[in-house]
Amino acid sequence: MAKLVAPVVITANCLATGAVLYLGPERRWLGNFAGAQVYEDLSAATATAADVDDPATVIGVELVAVKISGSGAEPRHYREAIRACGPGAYALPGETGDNRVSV
Amino acid sequence: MGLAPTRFPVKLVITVYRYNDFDRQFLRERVAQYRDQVKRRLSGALTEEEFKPLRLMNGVYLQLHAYMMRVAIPYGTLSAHQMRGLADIAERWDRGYGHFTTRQNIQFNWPKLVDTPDILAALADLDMHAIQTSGNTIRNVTTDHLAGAALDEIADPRPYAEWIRQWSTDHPEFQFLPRKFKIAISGGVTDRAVVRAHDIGLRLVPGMDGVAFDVYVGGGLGRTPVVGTRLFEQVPVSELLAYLEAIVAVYNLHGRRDNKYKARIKILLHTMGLDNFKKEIKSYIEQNSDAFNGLELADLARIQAGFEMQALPPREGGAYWERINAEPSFREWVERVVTPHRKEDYASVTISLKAHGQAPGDATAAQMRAMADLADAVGFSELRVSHQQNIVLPHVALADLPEVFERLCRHGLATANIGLISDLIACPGMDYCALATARSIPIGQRIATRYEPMEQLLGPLSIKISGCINACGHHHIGDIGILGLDKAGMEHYQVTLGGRPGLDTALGEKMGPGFSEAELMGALDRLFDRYLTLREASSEAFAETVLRLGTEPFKAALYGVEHAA
Repeated sequence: MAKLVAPVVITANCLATGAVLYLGPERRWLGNFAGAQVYEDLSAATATAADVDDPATVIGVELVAVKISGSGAEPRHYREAIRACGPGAYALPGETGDNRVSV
Repeated sequence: MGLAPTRFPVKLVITVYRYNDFDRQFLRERVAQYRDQVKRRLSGALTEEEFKPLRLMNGVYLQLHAYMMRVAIPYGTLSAHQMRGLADIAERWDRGYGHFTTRQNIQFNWPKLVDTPDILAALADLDMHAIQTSGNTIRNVTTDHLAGAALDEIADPRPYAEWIRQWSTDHPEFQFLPRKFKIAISGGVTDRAVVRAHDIGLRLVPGMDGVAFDVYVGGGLGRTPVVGTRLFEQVPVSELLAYLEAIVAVYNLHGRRDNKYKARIKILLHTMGLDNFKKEIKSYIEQNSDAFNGLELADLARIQAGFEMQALPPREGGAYWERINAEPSFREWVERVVTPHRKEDYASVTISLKAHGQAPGDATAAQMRAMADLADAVGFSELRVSHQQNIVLPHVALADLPEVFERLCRHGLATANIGLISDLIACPGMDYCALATARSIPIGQRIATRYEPMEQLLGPLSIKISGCINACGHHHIGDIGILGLDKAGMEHYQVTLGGRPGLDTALGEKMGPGFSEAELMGALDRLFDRYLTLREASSEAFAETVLRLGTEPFKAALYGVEHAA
């Protein structure tokens, strides 16, 4: 595993539902990557991650390295890109390509 | 008393095992325990560290995007009623589909933790559960998907598989083994259960009491693939559980717990040596001879009687013979998906869950219901899940095949590709799995669609894709194995050639450096061109050409090197 470098975002899964979460502004958990708060300071991000690691609501709090481009932040590693975007499988017969849920 | 081999008269078959009151009470209590565990976790009374082993014991994982529940389908057999119930679960608590796995189970990829107790309760109402589908325990016992129907069958392995399931479920000593433990059992002359790729592989052979068991130990794929060794021959039915108990107990005692990559029984066998291992087994059996005193045979008799018995009435072929001669699409489907049955007016039908471009092994709730309805209509209400991630109707009268074809066509389930390149196995890979190092489903989809126009030309060919070294996609035993790895932050795919399942199991030979996804398709193009050039006749399958010539010319093709031949 490559050494973690800033910038990063903070992610977790929702304990009750398992859904992927990203920490947004004002330390609110959001369901989409686009709203994630980007941390340029790794130490600050680590401290924040420890603060928001509430075992009664979230599970697996961790930092994810991102890169900044013209369209905003995006995960550096493909694993996190897949995690952020959802399964990349084809759509079901009769479903639209926007509703990619495998099958 | 239970020792009669489970080879029934040709006109009789057993279908599904009926739970008794004890089984149902056991499941109800287990669901109640789990419901309380979830409640305590959500209230904060249990930490994740405390809760994780409890949810895993009930088949609940946390994956990449969501929780996943793996439901046991013992030896791949389920009733139409159960299949319909799985469809209801998929619609009510998941996203309307399920994924059939290489261990003949089904996985739901999107359940919410808060709903999992209700899902387990719904499963219990179906006489189903998710117990021991995870964790370091004895997992779902797998077997031949053609059990009870195959022409070459020595005995139906499923009563023995159920016997092993009941022995191993909640076994007090075997809930925390060094690692997970997998058992397969085959009842045919041909091994369709890949017994030599299991921690214990059992093969029914003619013997005392009509049948006996050859016992293979120490097989497994994964990080260190090993072909299982036949350690014991002609083990009588009356001694089977004593042998199984001894093997697992010796493994439990001596297996490594300090390094999970060296914790499987195959490593122990290698470390101890075959002779020492066998001595330990014999010694354990002698010391514990009181534990198996014949009561277990009464259990086997009870279990055999617990299976529903079904008579297959004689049927005239009728419309089948007219249609097979008149309609090419029907004939092509029959040639690909129908397997001869031991009763000559019947057949087994494999329903492909590999429509080109579809995720291998996935079925929608509507498709599950369609298959259940079909099983009720023409298949004696029984279905099987194959380790190749397809569904099988084991007993269908030839006369009913036209109706089966028409109904499957209506539901997108009549793809005539069994045994062809698009009938590939792929694990969930990084689209779902938290352990994966690369995606496998999209690779499978690309291969299936890319080579669809030439798959008849290529003939029988198995591709198996794993998204990590754990090898859930069985890539070691594919004609072509593809292993997805993370190479410097990029998905790369390593190719193996020459693997095969069966009693002469062979592990594929690694060809060389991995390919990017884009490079992989070009490499496969060259590989298939080389095969089509080198095969002696169109009847020589890819695997046969590789066996005849060795892998070298194909390795050269993969990497774009000219070959002199």
